[in-house]
Amino acid sequence: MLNRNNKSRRLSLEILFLVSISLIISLIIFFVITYSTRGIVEEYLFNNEIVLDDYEYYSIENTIFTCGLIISVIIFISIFLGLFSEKIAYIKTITNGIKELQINNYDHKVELKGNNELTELANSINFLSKQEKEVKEKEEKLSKEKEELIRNLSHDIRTPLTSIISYTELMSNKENLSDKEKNEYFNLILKKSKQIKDLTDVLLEGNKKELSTFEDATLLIKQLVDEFEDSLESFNINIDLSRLNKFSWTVDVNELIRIFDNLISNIKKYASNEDTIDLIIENTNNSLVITQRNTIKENKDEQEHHNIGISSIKKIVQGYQGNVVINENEKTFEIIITFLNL
Amino acid sequence: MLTGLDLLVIVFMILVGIIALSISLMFLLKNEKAKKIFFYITSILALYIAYVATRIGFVSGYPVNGILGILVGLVAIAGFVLERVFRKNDKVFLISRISSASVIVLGLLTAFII
Repeated sequence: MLNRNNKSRRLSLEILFLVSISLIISLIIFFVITYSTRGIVEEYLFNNEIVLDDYEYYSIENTIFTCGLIISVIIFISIFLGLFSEKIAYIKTITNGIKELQINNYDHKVELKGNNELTELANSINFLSKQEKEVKEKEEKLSKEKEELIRNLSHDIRTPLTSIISYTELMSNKENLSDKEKNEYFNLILKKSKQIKDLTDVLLEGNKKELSTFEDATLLIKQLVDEFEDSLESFNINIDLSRLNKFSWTVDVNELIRIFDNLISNIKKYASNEDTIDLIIENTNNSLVITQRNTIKENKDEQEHHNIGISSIKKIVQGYQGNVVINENEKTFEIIITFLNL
Repeated sequence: MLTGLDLLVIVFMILVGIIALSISLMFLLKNEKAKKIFFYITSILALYIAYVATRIGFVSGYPVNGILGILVGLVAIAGFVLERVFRKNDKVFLISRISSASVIVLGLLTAFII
């Protein structure tokens, strides 16, 4: 992380510093080379008693000066390029970081070096990369949640739709229905239709809870249990409400209905009708526990739908700070739904 | 038209220029690999200067210069060996570089100036 307490240096000043260093070193080398060479030449001429005329003298002087100048310029360029190459290498590192970002590699981090505009640029790229990663992850999460919601609601719509089809088939096949029976079936069909409409509204408008407060929620539970029993006429149902005491509860009734519909749906698909199906509902210590137990029939098909129903129940219960425990083996299935903080 | 002396002067100045550049880059660059490359170049140049100083010293009748030339060569070799043995030690590498730079300057002074 860039240390914002230290004042960041400007890149231009750093480059000026590099130029100055290169210039100073090359000037020193120029003077050292030219004066030492001149000294050596004069020593050599003196020791060998060689006297040069003016032309030869100036020629040597020019050679020394020109050669010294060329060497100093080459040294200046070499030192400056050598020192500046590190900045160029860092710019390449930053460019590679941008390329990684372009190919959506959000885990790549540009190393922070120095304390100038390039470092700030590298830091910004790392920050952008992190932001992009977070946005991508959020998008993926939302997409998954949306898919799950659609899948769960589509599954939950099937149960009341199946009931409507069953009742209408019953009405069309049965002759001489009494007015009372007809009203009863119509009311059931109407109720299930409204349930489908509510679920469709959730699908279109989002999952908004419609909470209602019940002073005595045991009446609501008993009503749901009655419908549970009615829907599973062909099964042996054992219902135990002996440990269900009066309690008040703020809950979305449609969600409770969806839970029971999913339990009913799973029993119809996977439970053996040769053994008893247990449904125990009790409340203790500010929590409500619904336990449903059954034996599994031998040919268990559509494993994916079984899981969608349970997934839907879990999602609903999580909204009430509750939990769902599944105990399953080859022969028996048990689901324990706990609502907490009633 | 360049005389023999002109050519000798040019050769000498180029040699000194290369040595000065090599020493400068050996200390100024931050890249470790580049530092090592210029250290090896400086060591090779130090050995060459040691050879020149030894030859000039003994041939011209200056045995002290000759011995100094041999010393320059030995120190250059020692610096190279130290660097190879203690490769990952930064302090030893710094000592090797300083010794290499010092002996090459001593070698130049011994060969051409003193």
